[in-house]
Amino acid sequence: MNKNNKDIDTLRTLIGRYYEASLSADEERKLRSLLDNPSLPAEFHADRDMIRHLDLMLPPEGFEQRLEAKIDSLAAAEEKHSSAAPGRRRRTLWWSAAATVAILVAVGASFILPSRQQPEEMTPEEAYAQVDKALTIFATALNKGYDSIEKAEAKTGKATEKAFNALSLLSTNNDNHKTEKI
Amino acid sequence: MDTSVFKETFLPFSRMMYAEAFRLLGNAEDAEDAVQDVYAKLWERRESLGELDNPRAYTMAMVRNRCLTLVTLRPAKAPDTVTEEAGADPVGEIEVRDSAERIIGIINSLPESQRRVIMMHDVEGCDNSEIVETTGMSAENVRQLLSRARRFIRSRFAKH
Repeated sequence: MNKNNKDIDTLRTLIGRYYEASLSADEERKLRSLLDNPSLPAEFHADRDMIRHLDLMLPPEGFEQRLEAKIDSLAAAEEKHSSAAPGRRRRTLWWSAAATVAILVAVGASFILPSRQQPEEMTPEEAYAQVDKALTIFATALNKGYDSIEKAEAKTGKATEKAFNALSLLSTNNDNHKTEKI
Repeated sequence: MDTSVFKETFLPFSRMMYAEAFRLLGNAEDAEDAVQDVYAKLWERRESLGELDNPRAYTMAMVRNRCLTLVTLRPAKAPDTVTEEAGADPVGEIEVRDSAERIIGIINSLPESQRRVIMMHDVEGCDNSEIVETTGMSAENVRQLLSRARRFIRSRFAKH
């Protein structure tokens, strides 16, 4: 029996046991190497094709190494991120403080700047007229205030006078009553 | 969970995850991308994964979900189109893709128990004792299911 025939017999035996699912891992490797024979008889082509198709579903070469590298890179990125965090927090605090100051300055300026800008935009005559107008308004308001005070005082005086009159009348009536009793 | 514990816990499932992704997506590149995406997600969640009852089932569910998302996002491709990158072998790509679709179609048509056993044994590289341990089946049951699955696949190849 030549080697080729011996291989085919071995192949036939291994194939039979392959479909019985009773091959060891070494025997399966042997079966695969025999099926790779370029001069494989046609009767085994379907077996070869089937096993090759199943092998298509195996991960490509270097798959596990790439996965490990991916995990390592995730771990390294996380470590870098966490070690950079305190500095980042400090910077964030500084930026927050600076932003707060900037907002306060802006708000303050919005109150102060219009009153400063106005004179720069007016001529001295216009400014005088504005001041004059403002003083007139102030004086009018003040006079109105005084008028109101005077009116209020007059009303209060009349009321006080009426109250005194009423009291004195009461007191006189009371005295008369006592005299009658005596 | 530190890096080494993470690797010890989840890397043993990588071949199984790849096979499932390949079965669902139909090509090696997308399958590897999907598995890498799942490992990135697992890494993010690793602090809450220490008490998993069944990390294998959990990771497989993640792979399936990721693949379904990728299939949904995938642009519609005409049946005969192939990527035309520099140095690519369009004919080879078509052949590989057709072969992959063929074996996936046959495996997907197997009964669930046969599919599970043949995927574990012939694709993920588990030996019989690992399959017995994982599935809770008897060794003889595992052998019979594997045998039937192989004979069925062989019958489909003999027709062409």
